[in-house]
Order: sequence, then structure tokens, then C-alpha cells
Amino acid sequence: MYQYDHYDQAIVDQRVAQFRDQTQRFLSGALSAEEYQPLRLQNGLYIQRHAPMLRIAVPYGMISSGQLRAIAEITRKYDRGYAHISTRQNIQINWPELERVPDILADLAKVQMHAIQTSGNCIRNITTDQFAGVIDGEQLDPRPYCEILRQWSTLHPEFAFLPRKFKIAISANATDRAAILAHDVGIELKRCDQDVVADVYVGGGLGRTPIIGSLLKANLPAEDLISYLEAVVRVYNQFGRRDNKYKARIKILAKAMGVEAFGAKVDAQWALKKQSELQITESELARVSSYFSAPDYQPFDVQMSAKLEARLNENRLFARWFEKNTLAHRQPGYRIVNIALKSAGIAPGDVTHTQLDALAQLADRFSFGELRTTHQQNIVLADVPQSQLYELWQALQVHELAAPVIGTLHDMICCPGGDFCSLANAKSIPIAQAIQARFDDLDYVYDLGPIELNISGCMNACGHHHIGHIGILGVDKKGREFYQVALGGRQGRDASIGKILGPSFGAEEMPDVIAKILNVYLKERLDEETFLQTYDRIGIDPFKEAVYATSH
Amino acid sequence: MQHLTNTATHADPYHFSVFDPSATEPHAAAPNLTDWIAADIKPTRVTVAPGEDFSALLNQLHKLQVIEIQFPVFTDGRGFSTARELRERGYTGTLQATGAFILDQIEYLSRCGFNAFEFQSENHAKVAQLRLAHRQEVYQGDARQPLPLFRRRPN
Repeated sequence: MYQYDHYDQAIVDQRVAQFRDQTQRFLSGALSAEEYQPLRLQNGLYIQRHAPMLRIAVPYGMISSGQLRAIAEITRKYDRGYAHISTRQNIQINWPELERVPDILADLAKVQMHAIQTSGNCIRNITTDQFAGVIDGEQLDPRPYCEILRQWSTLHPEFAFLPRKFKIAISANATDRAAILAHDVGIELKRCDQDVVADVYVGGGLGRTPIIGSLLKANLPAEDLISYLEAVVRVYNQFGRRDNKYKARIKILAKAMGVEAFGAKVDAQWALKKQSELQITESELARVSSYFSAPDYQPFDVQMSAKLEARLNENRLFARWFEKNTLAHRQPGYRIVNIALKSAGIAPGDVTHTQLDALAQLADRFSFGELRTTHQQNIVLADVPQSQLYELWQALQVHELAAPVIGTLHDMICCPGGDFCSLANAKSIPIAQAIQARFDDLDYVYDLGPIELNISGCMNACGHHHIGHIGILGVDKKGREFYQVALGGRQGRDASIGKILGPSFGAEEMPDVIAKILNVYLKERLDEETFLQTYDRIGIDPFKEAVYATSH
Repeated sequence: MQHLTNTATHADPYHFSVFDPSATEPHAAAPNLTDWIAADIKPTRVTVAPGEDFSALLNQLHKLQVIEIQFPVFTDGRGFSTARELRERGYTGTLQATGAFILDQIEYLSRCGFNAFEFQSENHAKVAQLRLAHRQEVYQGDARQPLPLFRRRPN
């Protein structure tokens, strides 16, 4: 993965010093709360319900074992011994003291980490496919471009006070795991003969007004990505609405103007920059790409493969984990391993300091010292030799990290909700836990097949409820918490927004409601149909009838 | 009121001077954009507010000496883009930030091409002067250093 040189280090160190000064001035009263707010937000610091929350950047989800150990140490030294993986692949801690945040940032800087632009009205952490570089079907490794754009967007002088936040996702695979159509800008990289080109989508997003992105520019030469994105963000900065924060995202602007008119304005700005020093040089691409070259893989060994087969045949639990949590790797003899942070009784995405240390150690032992965070709020070891899978699985069990539930009903996405977040209308974690507890029979869960259940505690949709096969949204009705259910949403290339089932439910009804929905599927499904396929065939009405019939 | 400029010292984009504008030769206040567009004889100074269409200025940039860009609230970042676009289009005169911008924005403003700032207090102007003299490492090219870091990094 990318390693800082003295330039990158200087930039992060400067930011720590600057934030220390800003925080001291705020605490001494020299800087007002109003002035401090956007400055702290651009450093990932929220003032929350119980305490501040610090969101630490994990650029495009890549993190080293050393960095993970540093996070574990930070949760012990400054927090309550656990961290939370967010749906933007970042890491959050929920209980730091404001006065000590500059020290946390200084500790992070020592391991080439920071919290820059993880919040605020600026360009946020750029996300990508969690399997970049190791999965089949990839046209190229998107990570060098992610890093180049990370550097471009970091502390950009023109784009620190945008109308609203700005999220970019990049994919380079036929299967889109980065949800590029649900981002302010989504970039799909492709090979075109010897060249790399980008299809640029604009105006996707969830939140209060969910919209699927539209194609803005096809086949943009990849070396023009910086100049083109500068033009896009400038048009947004100049014309995006600032009178209503719920209408301030680029999706509202692109829709109001029309994508063609928006694109014409972008092209006019782009003409000022296209042939300029912003063009990405071959030497820079080569320099950054060198950090993402394949690790030192061992040659494929037929005997080892046979040994794995034997293990799978003799141990049903191991076989189940292998089937659910590991994926084919581009390199023969290796597997991609998903580690679900979805144990019963914990909030989805939460991970304790001892688990963090254990994961770091396992990454060192089995996966070249690198890990990835995912927008499903899990962790990935991307390069595990087949021959060591059994050992890894045993070690994961010791730390309660071997739940074989990837892609199942248990693998929910869930925002922190009303337990932590001051924006939330309703709690989300207890709903996730109640559903998990209700469906604790894993054979039943496996029989359901792939189901994505996403929960958000408010319209801001951090839990991506719109694109869950089953989406749950917490709403507030006269001070009481209710939950709205939607069906049929999905991410990926055919991304679409789920349809609302009907009137909302009280928290205590939710496990029953989900059970009724699942029963309709089990009753109606044909052969090997997935939940989504059955839904697409029979529509929402049978689900509606089943859920509302008995409750009246 | 105090001004902070480096318009007299083009050689060093990090060196700014503080002065009291009332002590120097008086200028007519810069007209707003609507008045400037309506004027038969174009003044050499103009003020641009956020959201105003400044395309009428673009073929007159070489004749303008001072463009004031207003910040009605510090969180309205449109002025950053206006400044940078005017510089990209070749404007070389004074670009002055006025209004509610805050000290913590001064580096970004300067990097976007502002070379003059209007402050209510002399103390703020002096703090800003010190900050601007402090060279920082940055990724992007800007008004002070046109090359982005990736073109400056030794291979």
C-alpha cells in the first residue's frame, strides 16, 4: 500500500499543528463555536450526543497492521477500548475528549494516518472496491488513481467550503462494489487499448432525496481526471444551493439544471484547465502504482490444495466458513478472506481493541501485513494462502471473528443511530440486534440466501437503507421512534432505490415484520430464486398483504 | 480598517504588508457589479458578490486594477472559486477579499489568488501577515507555486 515520503508526512504534521492551535483558540475563547465548527468537522470531529466522535480516515479502505495496532492503542489510551468501522470504510471512536483530540491526531500522524476531510462540506474520503487488486474481473487496479485523487483533494484550497459534503467512489470492475451510482461523483475506470479511460457519473446519492447517478462524461482520458474533477467541483461550488442544506448536494443541482446543461458548464471550466499542469504525469502514475504492485506470492502447490480439500471434507464448520466468508483470488493458491464484524450482541461494525490487535497479528502472519475495511462494515484479509486458511480460521474463532455470515441476513449495515449520533431520529443498533437474535438459527439464515438488510437511524442514510434488499429507516413521530420498511433496493450496476412497504412500525414489532417478509419469500420462491429475484417477479403486494393483514 | 497586501512585492508571494488605507491616496469605493456593467466608462475597480455572473468582466480583465470579492459569511466558499477562475483567465491585478472571511481561511484564500485582504482590526491583519509568511507543504499547485506536488517531487 501507499507509503508517505517526507512531503506527505509534512502535510499531515502541519495539519496536526494547525488543529492543535485551532482547538486551543477555541478552548480559550479566541475562536467562536461557530467558527470552530467547520474547522473541526474538516478534521473529522463531531460533537455528539454523549461525547465528541472522531472519524479517522482509512483512504479507500487500505490499512496496515501497524496502523491497526496504533488504532487499538488509541482506543485504549483515549477512548473506551473499541472502534467502529463506518460505511465509508473509515474508523470511528465514540468517546474521545475534545482537549485530547490534537494528541490523538499526533499519534495517528506517527503511523501515516489522519482525520482530514472525513466530515464537513468538502471532498470526503475516496472509496473503492474492497477487493481491488486481488479479485477477478478487474480491468485495472483502481488504487493508484484513488491515491492520486486523495492527494489532489487533500486540503484543496478552493474546495474547503462547498455547499455540502462531496463523496467520490471509484470502481474498475464489471461488478461494482463501490456503489459508484450512489455517489456525488462515481468513476468507472476502464482499459481502452493501451490507455485507461474513465466514465464519470454525477449526482447519485442517498439521504433525503435518493437519486441514482447519471453519466456525465464517457471515456475521459484518465490523465485528465484531476482537471475534469476540478471543473465539476467548481461548477458545484459556484451553483450548488446554499439556502437549504437538504437541497445542497450536487444531485439536486444536476437534476435542476439537467445533466446536459450541467455538463456544458463543466466543459467550459474544463477548457481552462485541460491542457495544464493538472494533467497526471506518467512518472507520477508509475511512482504511485509501484506501491500497489502484487506482493511476493508463493507458487501454487497442488499438495497444499489437496490438504485444504481434506480439511473442508472433514470439518463442516470450517467448510461453512470457507464457503461464506472466503472468495476466489486472482492468484492461484490464495483466497480473499472476509471477517464479519457482526457478532451477536455487538453493534454492526464494532471491533474491540483486543480484536484489533489480533487482526493486526493475523494480517502479519497470513496476509502480508495489510487489511481492508469495507462499506459493509467488515474487514478483509486480501492475500491469504489456501494452505493457511485452517490455521487462520482457528485463530479467528478464538477472537470471535469467525462468524460465517458474510452476505447473509446477519451481515447487516447499520449506522450508529440514536444511541450515539445527534442527527438520528431513532435508534438503529437495537433493531439490528433484535433481528439478529430473532433469526439466530444459521441454517435458516443460510437457507434464505443472499440478503442485504440495511438500517439507518435517520434520513441522512448513513446505513444505506435505500439500497438494502430490505431497508429500514428510523423516523420520529411525536417523540416516539418508528421504523419504515422498504423492499427491493440494491447496490451495484443495477442500483435502485427500495419501495416503501407502507406505514411504519414500532421497534418491538420489527422482528415480526421481518419474519413475515421472509416467510412470503420462502413460500413464493421458485427453485434457486434469491430474495431479490422473487421480489422482482411477484412485486411488493404479497409482502404488503402479509405484513399488514395480521396487524389490523 | 486595515489592509494586508503584497501587490507591491510581486516577487515574493509570501511577503505581505499591513497598512491603513485611509492614510494613503483615497480611492473611490469599488462599484458593485451591476453598476459597473451599467457604466459607460468602465471603472478600474469592481466588487463581486457570491452568485453574481461575472462573465461581463472577462474581456475587460486587463483593464481592471482591483476586484473585490465579498464574503457575506465565512462558510460561503464561492469566492474561492471566483478568485481562482479569474486568475486562470489571466487577471493579474489586485484581488481583494472583503467581509466575513476568517483568519483560518487566509492560506486558502491566498493560494486561490487573493493578494489583498481587508480586516477590521490591525491585530488580525498582523496575525494574517505572519501566517502568510509561513511556507507550508501542499499537494496542489496554487497562486504562489503553480506546480502541483506531483510535478515537483524528485523522481
